[in-house]
Amino acid sequence: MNVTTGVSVYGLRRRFGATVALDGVDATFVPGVNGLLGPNGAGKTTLLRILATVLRPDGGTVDAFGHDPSTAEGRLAVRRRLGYLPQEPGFHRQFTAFEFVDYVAILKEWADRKPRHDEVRRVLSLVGLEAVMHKRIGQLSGGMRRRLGIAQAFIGRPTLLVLDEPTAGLDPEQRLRFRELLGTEAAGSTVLLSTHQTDDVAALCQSVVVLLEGSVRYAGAPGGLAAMADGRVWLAADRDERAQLAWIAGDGQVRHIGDPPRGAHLVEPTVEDGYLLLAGRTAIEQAGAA
Amino acid sequence: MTTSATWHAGPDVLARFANDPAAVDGATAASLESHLVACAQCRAEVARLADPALAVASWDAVADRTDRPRLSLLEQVLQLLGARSGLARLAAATPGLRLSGVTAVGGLTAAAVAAAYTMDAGGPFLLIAPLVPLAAVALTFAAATDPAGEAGVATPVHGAGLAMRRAAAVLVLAFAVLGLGAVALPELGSAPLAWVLPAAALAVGSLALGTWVRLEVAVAGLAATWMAGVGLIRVSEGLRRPFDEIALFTATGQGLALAVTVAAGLVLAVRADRYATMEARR
Repeated sequence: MNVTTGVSVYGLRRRFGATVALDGVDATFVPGVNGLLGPNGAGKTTLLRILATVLRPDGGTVDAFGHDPSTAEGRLAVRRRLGYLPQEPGFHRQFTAFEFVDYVAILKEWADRKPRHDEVRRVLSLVGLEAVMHKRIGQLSGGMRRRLGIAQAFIGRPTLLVLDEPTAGLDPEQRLRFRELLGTEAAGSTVLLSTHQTDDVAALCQSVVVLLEGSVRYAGAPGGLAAMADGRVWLAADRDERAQLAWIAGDGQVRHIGDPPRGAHLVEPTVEDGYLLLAGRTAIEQAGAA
Repeated sequence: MTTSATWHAGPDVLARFANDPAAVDGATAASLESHLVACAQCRAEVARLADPALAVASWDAVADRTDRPRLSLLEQVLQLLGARSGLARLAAATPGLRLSGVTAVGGLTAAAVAAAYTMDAGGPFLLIAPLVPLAAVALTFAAATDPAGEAGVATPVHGAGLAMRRAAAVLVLAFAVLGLGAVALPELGSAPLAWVLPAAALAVGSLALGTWVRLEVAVAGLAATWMAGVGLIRVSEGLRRPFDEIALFTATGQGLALAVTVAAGLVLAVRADRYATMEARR
């Protein structure tokens, strides 16, 4: 891969005290939407923070469009093309929505007031917040605050977007609008998006990385992740203890993932099935090792 | 309310009014304005005749005016002095320079002055004053007071340079306020500036330590060390001894404070880049 067109990490390591958050992560993120899946504590947020240059790795390297963010020059170059939505943006609640985005725009080197304010209005209207732009952030709902975070990430049409759980707290209609937004505003950009929503990955992502316990367990197309569960997903009227995971689906039948019993009624796997199979298998391995 | 009208404005008057209301005389303009409210046909004609670019520009100007954020006093002063709007806003958003920060620094200084007056001795001021710049540093760099949170860290302007300029600004303010307090205290006797170097050592020391540990931890640790250290020295040298004569405020103590300040400054020069990320805040 030509490193100047995307983002690559090699042997990335990061600890927090005794906790290993990232344990030698290798991954490549190409232009398009790249999903990051993993349970809580898998290291997704740590990886995104490192890629967003707000955290330093203990070891390993990052190559973002040919820049090394461990140097001051490389970090500046990456930040100039970056839009970042943290998991917890930490808004100053006394700011209005407009003032907050305006302030972030200043930090993004939009020095001249008029074009800056035009850009602020543009990104606020992208997420449908133009009607409440002069309300204090403390008065906005959780979903509105999430959209405000998304708005500031889009300032200046960044070519690298790092979005940590952007759809958390959004209702189904807003999630749909967000998908449309990525399709229009982020076309041609490299987008890294962490989520717990496997349907977001299936709908949006050209590639997906599954992180478990700080390590990459899958990297490839979402279809490939679903294919990992080929021949491993079946429906039955009752729970079968041979399954690694089982739950009651919307139609009242029990969906099983794991080695099917003889004569089981196999079904087409989804990205979620593939992900759950991967995560479940790891959990079983950990239990066995203990 | 009726929306019909019994007369219609002439097309030449409407055309002039649509593209520049000042191009018609005042009485005609007033008459047209009240007529347009009631006449849908003339409104449609004005809309057809008006230059769309002019309408967009007018709307932009209105939006620009109404969307302009409120300016704080500091921001207004900085803009009057010629600072660009972005720079003025960055300075005004520094937590230690906001009203709450200035109030905290002023309040602590006032408490130190009041305690010295009450006890008719400079000791309480010398004890409390070095903690004031430390509090200003904590206010400015604590994660909870950051105006843009983590999103602001991942921006080109956020870096060691901005952090150090903000630190310098809040420390200048804190030392200026303390200086005013010291001037008001004859009780400080022969050591009116004895608090300066310890205050500098604590403030610069906290910024240097903040490149290794969370800044709030560095500030709390140094504040506790200062209080405990002064207490121990007081006890070891005898409680009857005047406060400004204890070792900390004599040449030996001042020399030590200067050495700590210089050493911390050197550490900061080497490690200030840690303020470009979240490492100093978590």
